[in-house]
Amino acid sequence: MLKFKEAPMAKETPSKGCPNPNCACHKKKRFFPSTLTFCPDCGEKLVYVCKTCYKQLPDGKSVYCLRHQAAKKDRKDKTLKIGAGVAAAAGLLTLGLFELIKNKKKF
Amino acid sequence: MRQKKESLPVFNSSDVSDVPTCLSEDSLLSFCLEAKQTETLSQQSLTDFIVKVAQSSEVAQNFVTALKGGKYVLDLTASQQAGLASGALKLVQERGQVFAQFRNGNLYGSKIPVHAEGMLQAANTQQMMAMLEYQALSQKLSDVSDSLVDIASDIKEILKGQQDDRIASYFSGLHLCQEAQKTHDPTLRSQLLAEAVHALADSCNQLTLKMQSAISYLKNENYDNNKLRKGKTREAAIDEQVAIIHQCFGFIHQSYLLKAAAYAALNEKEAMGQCFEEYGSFLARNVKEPLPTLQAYDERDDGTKMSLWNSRAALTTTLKALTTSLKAEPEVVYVKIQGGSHGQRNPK
Repeated sequence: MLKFKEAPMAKETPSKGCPNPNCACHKKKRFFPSTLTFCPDCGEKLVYVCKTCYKQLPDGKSVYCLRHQAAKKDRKDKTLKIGAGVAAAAGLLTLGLFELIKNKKKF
Repeated sequence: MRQKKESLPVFNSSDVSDVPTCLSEDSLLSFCLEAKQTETLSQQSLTDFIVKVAQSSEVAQNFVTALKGGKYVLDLTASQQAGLASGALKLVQERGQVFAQFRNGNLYGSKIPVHAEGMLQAANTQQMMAMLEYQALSQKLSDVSDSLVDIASDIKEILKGQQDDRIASYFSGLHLCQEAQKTHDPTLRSQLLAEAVHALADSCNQLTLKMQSAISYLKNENYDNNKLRKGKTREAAIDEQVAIIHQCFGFIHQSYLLKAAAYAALNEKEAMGQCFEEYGSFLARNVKEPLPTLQAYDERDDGTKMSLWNSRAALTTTLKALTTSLKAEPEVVYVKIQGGSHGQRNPK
């Protein structure tokens, strides 16, 4: 029997950016992998940046700045809320269907 | 045809002679509670009371249907109606449908479809009382929630008023400074400037405290707490606090500069130097120290060296240099003039 290996979840890695405001990479908000140290365009030392707003981060511990981390949490909460609502509605619908089937069987 | 599932007692109108005539929900609730406590009211009299008040009260109207029990409707033809008085009846269930059959001797007749209408089971007195209580309590709860919303809006108004007072104090100082510049009388001018300095100092200190509380809110990540962010999203709560910080910083900056200008107009060099020193210490405490926090949460700051909060923090160095130059002794420059006749003009 064939066994399919489950694809691993894409983990977000911190990205680097060019801090030089005159550099084209900075203007275009180009992201670089964290393995790179210097900008290939202007030679400036690369810094960790937020993946959403290109703001400089103090270290590479997080992918997003604090503001966008909070925004991400908001989105997660909203999704959970909607999910809970859908689950409750589905549960109620299932219960209703069961009751309907039971009542039909009685008659 | 009507079929009663539960036999209800016969109502006696004399039992309800002491029943209140006021038909509001509050009176219904109090009447029921009282009856429950004292056990003076019988089931019949309470039922009778509800029926009596049903004409005007919506609450009681709901129970009348329940009191009357389940109601079945038969679709009868004219010939079936004629035999209704004499024939016995039998209910049959078939494929989810109820049918009625008349008995004629040992045989049953044709099936007549039956539709159920209204409630199949009548509510008893306790259920009715519970429903009355529930209705009245839910009304009370909605009243309480309405009043809470009113209180919350009042608090918002008060907080807005406080902030407006601080800003108004700044504007009063600004206008006094402007008026003092146009005044010719030196005594009045100095009085106006002193008043302006007082107003500006008040506004400045109050706004500083407000700004500090906003910074600590962000620093302690209070926006993660649902109660502290008051139902807003995290992003909205952060943006609100950042907006407060920006507003406060703008007015504080202007206040310190106006204060320094007022001291300069009064020819108080040392006080002016002190004012700049205070501003420097304010910047060191409230901008330079929490700089990473301010940069992280402010959307306008991109984190570069020339960014918004970095340039504001760099003001401390400028202010230090300014304070040092103000405190320093005036330099005396000796000019030596070449030639024999010192300080005399050469006659032509």
